[in-house]
Amino acid sequence: MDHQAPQSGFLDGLKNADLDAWRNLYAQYGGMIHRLARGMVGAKDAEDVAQEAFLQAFRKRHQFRGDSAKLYEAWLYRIAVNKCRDWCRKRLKNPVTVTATRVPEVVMEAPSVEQRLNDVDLIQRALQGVTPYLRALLLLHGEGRSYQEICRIMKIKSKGTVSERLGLAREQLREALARLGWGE
Amino acid sequence: MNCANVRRLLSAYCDLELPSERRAAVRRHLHDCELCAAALDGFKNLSALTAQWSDTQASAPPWEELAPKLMTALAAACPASPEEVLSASDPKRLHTGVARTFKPVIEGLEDRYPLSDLLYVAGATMAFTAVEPMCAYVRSDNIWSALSNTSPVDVSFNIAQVGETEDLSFAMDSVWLSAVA
Repeated sequence: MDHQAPQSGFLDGLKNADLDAWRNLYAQYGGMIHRLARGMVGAKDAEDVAQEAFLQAFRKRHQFRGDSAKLYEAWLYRIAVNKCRDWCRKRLKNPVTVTATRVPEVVMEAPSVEQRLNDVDLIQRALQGVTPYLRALLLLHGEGRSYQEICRIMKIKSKGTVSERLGLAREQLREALARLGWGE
Repeated sequence: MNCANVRRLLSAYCDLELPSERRAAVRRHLHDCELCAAALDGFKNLSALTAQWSDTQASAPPWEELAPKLMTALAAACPASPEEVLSASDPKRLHTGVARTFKPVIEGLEDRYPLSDLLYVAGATMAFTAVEPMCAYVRSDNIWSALSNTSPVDVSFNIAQVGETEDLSFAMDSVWLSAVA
């Protein structure tokens, strides 16, 4: 995965609205931010939400106070997570019902392409059954963020708290999957 | 270590985020507790499933879709320094009798200029526009406050009053001026 934090010299370019620097940033983080958005809000609105996140980072570029690439990365992620959570809050007014339309079979051998697609569809729908905050934790961790990085992005004080909340997130995901027929 | 303690640490154990001593303690508990061991297996299955989900996601749309939006945002942005603001307020560059909005006139100067300089630039910009009525807004901690809705002179006076009574020099990050002919 595209995990390397931007180099520190690059931060000046971002702050000065150098579009080459922003192109590089997008090349490095576009995929991750879009995946986060898809997991948070679903495929239909993910592109809009992800682009809004980049646009907000661009508009607020002078407000970034840190001086390291790692901090910048956390700042960008935080903007994206907040955008997604805002979207989820708005959607609460018009909730979407998640229903089981397909019950995938549990197989012991390597999954077929069809089974993989079923699982992908299933997990996408099950993620919507996890509260947005915990869903964000799950997705950040799924992107390979360490507990320390998750602390920085979500402003959580200790790695122990991350562990506890990720445990809750996994429980909620497991329950959502069970409601959709997974593991039966 | 009891089950409740282990459950709190189970994610960290599963993700190899525990220091060795605690990891050993959790491992000992898992050896003797079927329920917690089953919970750990469940976590591992979920991790495999979410990794599979992540791997199959389409890539991001091309940069060319985002770039025009950034350029639009850049074009709408304000001048970057008080000197540029003053330059932009040159009366020769202004049209008269046309409704116009300057937004935001002084953005991105946070922590770099004292409030008095910002106010000076705001006042100078407004004085040069020679249109009224005018509104001035100061943003502090993302909260916009309307300072005045009167003549240019009154506006700069009112802003200065705020400056005297409150120390906004670190919090204020932009001033928004609008003028309608």
